[in-house]
Amino acid sequence: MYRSSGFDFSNSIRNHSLAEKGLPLPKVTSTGTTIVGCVFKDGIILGADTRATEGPIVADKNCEKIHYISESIRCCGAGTAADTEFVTATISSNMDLHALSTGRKPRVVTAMTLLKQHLFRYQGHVGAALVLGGVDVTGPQLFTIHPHGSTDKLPYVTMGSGSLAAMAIFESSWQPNMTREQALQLVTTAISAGIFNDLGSGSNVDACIITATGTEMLRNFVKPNERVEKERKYTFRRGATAWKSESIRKLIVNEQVTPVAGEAMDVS
Amino acid sequence: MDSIAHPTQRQFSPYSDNGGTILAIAGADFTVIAGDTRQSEGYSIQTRYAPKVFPLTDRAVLAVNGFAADGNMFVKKVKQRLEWYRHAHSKDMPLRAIARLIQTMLYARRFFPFYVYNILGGIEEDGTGAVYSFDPVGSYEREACRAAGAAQSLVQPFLDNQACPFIHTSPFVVLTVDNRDIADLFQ
Amino acid sequence: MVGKDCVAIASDLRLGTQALGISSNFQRVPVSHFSRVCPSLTICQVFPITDRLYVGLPGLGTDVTTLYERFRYRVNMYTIKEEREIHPETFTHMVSSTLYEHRFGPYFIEPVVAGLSKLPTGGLKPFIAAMDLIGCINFAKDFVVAGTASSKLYGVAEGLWEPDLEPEDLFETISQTLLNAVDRDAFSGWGAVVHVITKDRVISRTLKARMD
Repeated sequence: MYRSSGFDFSNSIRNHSLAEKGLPLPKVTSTGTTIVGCVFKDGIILGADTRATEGPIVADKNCEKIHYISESIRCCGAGTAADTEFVTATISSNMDLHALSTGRKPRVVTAMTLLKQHLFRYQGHVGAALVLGGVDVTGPQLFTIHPHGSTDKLPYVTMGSGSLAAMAIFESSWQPNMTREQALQLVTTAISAGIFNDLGSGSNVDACIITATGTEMLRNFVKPNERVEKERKYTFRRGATAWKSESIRKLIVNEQVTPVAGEAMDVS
Repeated sequence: MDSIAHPTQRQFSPYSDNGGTILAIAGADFTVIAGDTRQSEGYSIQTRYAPKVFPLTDRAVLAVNGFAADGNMFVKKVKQRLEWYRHAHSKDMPLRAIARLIQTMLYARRFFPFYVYNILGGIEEDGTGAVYSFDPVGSYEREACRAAGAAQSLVQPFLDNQACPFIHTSPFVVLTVDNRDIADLFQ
Repeated sequence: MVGKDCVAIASDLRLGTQALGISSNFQRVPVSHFSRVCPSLTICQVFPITDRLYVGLPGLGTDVTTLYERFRYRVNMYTIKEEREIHPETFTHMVSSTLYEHRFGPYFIEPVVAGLSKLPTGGLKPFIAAMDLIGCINFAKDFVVAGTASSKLYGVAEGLWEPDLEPEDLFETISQTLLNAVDRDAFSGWGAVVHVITKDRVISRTLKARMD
């Protein structure tokens, strides 16, 4: 069965008619999100919270929003979760192919250009708001990319519903030529501001430090919202649930092959 | 191009949703009633401490959820009516009477309602624990357990499972043999 | 839901829950009627993919069938080409990219995947995942939910689930979670089925539930 690459719009007409008949589109997972990035002395630090939401419901309490682009380029995503996930994966793959064909280490501007061209082509319908950061031959680079394809190049950036809370921290405390420790502390504080003051953000702090010498992914760097152990057990007595019918399918756990005596087949 | 005169449309939207969740469970001779204290609007927190559970009498507690301004005003009005009752009758109003009072107060505003979901918990005159829950225009019911507010859909089925099978406060509690641990009920 | 060396997947038996409203507009027979006439169609909301891998497809009835056939085809092609069984992780990504292909005209399906994945050491590790209708994967350590009763399921599961439940205890927990959640959802119910997948067997049970 041949299928051309790219999006398939074959359900669109059907869905349009279903929408007219009153079937609502189920909610998509989005990341309310606080994501940040900041430049320091030796490179870039990216930060993100770990909450994914479906309307007012927390869909994932510990998701990963710092996506891999290449060894020294990473990308934080906010907005429609599926879009951030697939757009970064696509561009990561294209960056690999690009690096292979040019024989050079990929640059951050290349990723930025690929991303903005992709997003602009879809006129904002691919709902990804990104913070792209990394270190390449030209030094540390930090960008924000909006869903319609516009970009900014700044020394400190924030995105998502918690962007104002995080930017307040950056505006008051960011300074040029910070040390690694100072910058990591600042990013943690900025993400925490989002986690605690923006209802669309929550759970833990993820951080990623990218320098010319290497990349360090600090998954769940701070966990300020650990769930305490429940005070009582909620297990039910076995047999508490009544059932009507049962079927058990036994599975093969391991098998032993015993060769039957006789001459082996001639396979020469 | 000359601009054409356009009609101006004005809007009055006096309500907002301030989030939060309240819940109550009735026991044989007690009631537990609780609420969170966050008050929010959209994605922002207005305050981290705004109580929405208020003692009315020694045997009645009211929890209000929905639009905070309406909630606070409504509690104020209920408390005033209870004080008048106390001065007139030299006793506190019984719980079931408070429930009916709340219904009439809510229905009085049928076409400009208080945007609040009320849960009234307390002790009845016969000493049993009771929970009454209301919709914004005064429809109410005595129940074994009830949650209301932002997390109602998360909390209510959990309460159904954990609280209701063990407590017989309402004759209307339906116990189905299929999914509840009946054996524990008769221990 | 994840348990100790086991996973469980459960679903109610009613077909195309949200479609009920529309279907009565343009179908002669309401969907609700249809599921009673043809129970075998509705029971199969949870499908086996391999011995230790199941997928739940809640959503629009037509898409349940279309997508299941699509996945069956692709899994068969994978098995023939690779000469091995598909892993739960691989299958999840296959489902996810199929859904994202239809980003701008999606299938109305929110799949749930549950299975045991083989470790390089030969052991088995519980695996569960859920997706939204455009393929955003949620890899959870504890439980995942989907469908019209999802908010109710979140609430009960968050309260009842605990780590390292044995298969029989996991059965009780997932059954109670499902039954109590669908009792508060007007669009779900009408019986339920639970599959508990362990190392050496798959236990499938239909639950006694309210039929209103």
